Amino acid sequence: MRASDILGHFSAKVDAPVDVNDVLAFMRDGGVECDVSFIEVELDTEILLGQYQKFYVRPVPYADPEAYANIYYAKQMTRDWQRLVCCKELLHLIDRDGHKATTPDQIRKNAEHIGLPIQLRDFDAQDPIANTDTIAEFFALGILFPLAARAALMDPFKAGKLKIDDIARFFDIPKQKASFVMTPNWESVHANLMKMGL
Amino acid sequence: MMTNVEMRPPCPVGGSFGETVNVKFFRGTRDDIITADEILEQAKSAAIQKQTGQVSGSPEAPRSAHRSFNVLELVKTL
Repeated sequence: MRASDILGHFSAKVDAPVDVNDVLAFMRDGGVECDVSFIEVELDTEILLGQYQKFYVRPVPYADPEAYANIYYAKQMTRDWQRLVCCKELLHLIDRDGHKATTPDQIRKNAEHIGLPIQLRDFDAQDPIANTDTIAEFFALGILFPLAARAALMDPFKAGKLKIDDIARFFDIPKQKASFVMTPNWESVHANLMKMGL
Repeated sequence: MMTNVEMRPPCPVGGSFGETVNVKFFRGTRDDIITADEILEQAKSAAIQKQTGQVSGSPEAPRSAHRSFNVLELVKTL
């Protein structure tokens, strides 16, 4: 399963809001096997809003590993942010080999990259591990605010019958993210995400 | 003799869960640079809260409290 498969599936939805648990169910239906825990924790939200950690446990030596994933999200965030963070982190369940931060060096390097303001990140020069971490947020946004629903809302929005606050509330996503999806640029962003096939 | 697990360097975000496969982050809101040490410290703090039983996990992601509706139906009323 690829992130573009999930994005493609949810892009046709016209019911709001999209439940992150439905995204997980779709991934499971597609063959993703992992014991996932969502964990609300106290975090300094200026520094970190969420974290994904996947690990294997072998119940006995030489047994097949059992896969677990802990998705941590900040308690202090509003629900709209919690949903976006959890959806983005959930998508890392399907990170391909070469896109996973596994070793201490890879994890630290990824943290260094993520710590840069987005305007300072060099996507061409960076490795796919860090790029995947950044791009997953766009996939999550496209899943939580489906393209079909956006298309239906565009005319009333342009006519002033709906405000960004209304749209953000409908989809229970952060206002600034709803605003971004309603820009003309979003269609090309969405098309590029589908082409990426992550 | 040490096992492979014991020989593996500790995971920078907490290494007692087993064999680390993948670790990713959602950046905080600060406009300025956030150092790797700051991110890893917060990540460790999250893992410690879980390990020490201060918080527990749920198999369910946070659900919206908003009532579900069909966007096409809504647009017809505008």
